[in-house]
Amino acid sequence: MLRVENASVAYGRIMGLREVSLVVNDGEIVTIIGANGAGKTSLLNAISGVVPLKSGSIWLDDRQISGLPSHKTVGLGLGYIPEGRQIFGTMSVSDNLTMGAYSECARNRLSTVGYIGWFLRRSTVQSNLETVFGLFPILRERLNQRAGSLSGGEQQMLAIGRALMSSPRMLLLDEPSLGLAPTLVKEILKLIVRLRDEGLTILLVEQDATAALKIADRGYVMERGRISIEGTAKELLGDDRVRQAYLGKSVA
Amino acid sequence: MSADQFVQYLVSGLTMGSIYALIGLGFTIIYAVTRIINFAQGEFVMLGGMLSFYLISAAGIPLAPALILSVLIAAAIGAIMYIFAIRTARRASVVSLIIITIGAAIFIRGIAGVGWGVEHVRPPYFTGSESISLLGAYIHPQALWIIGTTLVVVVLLHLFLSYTMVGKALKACAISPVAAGMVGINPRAMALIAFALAAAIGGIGGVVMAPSISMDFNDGFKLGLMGFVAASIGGFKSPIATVIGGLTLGIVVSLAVGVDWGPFTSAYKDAIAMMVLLLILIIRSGRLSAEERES
Ligand SMILES: Nc1ncnc2c1ncn2[C@@H]1O[C@H](COP(=O)(O)OP(=O)(O)O)[C@@H](O)[C@H]1O
Ligand SMILES: [Mg+2]
Repeated sequence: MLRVENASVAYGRIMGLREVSLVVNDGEIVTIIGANGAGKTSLLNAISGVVPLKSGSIWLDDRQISGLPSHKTVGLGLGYIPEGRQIFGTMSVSDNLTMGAYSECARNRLSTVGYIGWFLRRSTVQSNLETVFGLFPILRERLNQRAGSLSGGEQQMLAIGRALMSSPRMLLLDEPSLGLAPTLVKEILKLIVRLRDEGLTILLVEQDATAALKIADRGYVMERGRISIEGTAKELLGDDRVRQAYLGKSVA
Repeated sequence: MSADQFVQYLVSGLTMGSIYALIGLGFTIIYAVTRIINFAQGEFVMLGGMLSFYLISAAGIPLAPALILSVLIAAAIGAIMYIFAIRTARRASVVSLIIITIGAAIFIRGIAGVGWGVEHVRPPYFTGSESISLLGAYIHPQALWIIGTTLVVVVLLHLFLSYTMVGKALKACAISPVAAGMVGINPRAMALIAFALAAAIGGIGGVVMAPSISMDFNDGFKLGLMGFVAASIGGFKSPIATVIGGLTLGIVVSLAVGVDWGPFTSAYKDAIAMMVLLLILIIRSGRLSAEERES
């Protein structure tokens, strides 16, 4: 279970996040909706440890993770698929996936300096790779291609695949459908449901609020760094304020 | 210039070029991972050379262990410099960090000057000084050590970057430290490794070149400058581009000095070398800014 308590994030004098509290239970899909600049990315960055908290705290089960940098939270099971994908564009698809397993490798310092082939032969790495190729067969075909040369949809698959390589318990996804064709958006949403059904917990930030609420258990609406409305997906889909501000521009 | 002379200048160009390449590699590695241009890079070269002399002559340590120890100490000083001078100022802008490296360079040079004095030192050749003749040119065995060592360093560096997780993590960090963090790579650990590695490679350069040129505490700056030019020619891009940059610089300078310039007597040789150097830089920087506009 992920618990965010009164978390605030500041960029100099600009507040990105103001005393936000939320909970994501194991096995849930929780979605965050909100306009541009509402603070959704700041929230995910704060959870993952990309940006520090100004105040408040974040807990993963009984462990406080606020204050931990992102390279530590990956090791605790938080897989992050950031806004804009942030894949390693000049590296091969294969190397991107390999880097996804870095946190696994870093558990034993010696294996980071040993021959890379030995590490990649490990059963956890191999089974994660098989999972990724099972979900995205196209990545197997593109293994030796430069990641930057992939199409937008393939890059998103790679970003998700890279996160899955770290054996996460929970995925943080920041607008995974941004810039993708409507059919691909549906694919990605279906995939998210499938990952949840296989045991992952999902925190999803999504532009397309209707589509996101259709697959989510619960949702939070953010406005100017705060959470303004929260409820089950059904409640939010029926909420007049939500309908007026965020729904009705759906592709799903 | 006769054919024999040409080969002679080519060989000495390759030798100096190898040194420039080694020094340049340090610049490239640190720049790639941290975007810092480390102006203390030449000091690691000086340290390698000076340490090897004092470990051999004053401490009486046999040659091979003394060389290895010199390189390890240089690497440790690189790591210490990162931890105390760079990491503590991590909120600072890249420009401030570059200025800090200049401060660190002056500090290291100052300590070396106080500790070792101003005299030139020259450690012994690794394997005698009987020149080997090749295609009409004479090659000093130490030159072969310099060229051979550079080759070995380049091959080992390539293997490290391509066939270990941490090597690939350094590359990932060079592309994006934030994205690297998201997959579990600690960017500050990578920066530490980059500084230690760059200092070690600089130290290796100092250790192999010191017997040929002799050294004093003050030599780091100009050696660093040549390494900086080598890295610039290569565009600070990849190790291999830097090596090509270093070798090009060495050969061009060597040939420019060797050519019969008619009315320009030998007194102007160094000036000619500097002009060639400037020309390379101007061409290179033009190309760099063109690339910058593209991206
Ligand atoms: N690195 C940053 N520096 C300064 N301000 C930022 C930074 N990142 C985000 N902000 C500001 O914080 C607020 C929230 O941004 P963000 O979290 O990106 O929102 P969203 O993801 O919902 O679009 C915005 O006002 C934005 O301008
Ligand atoms: Mg955002």
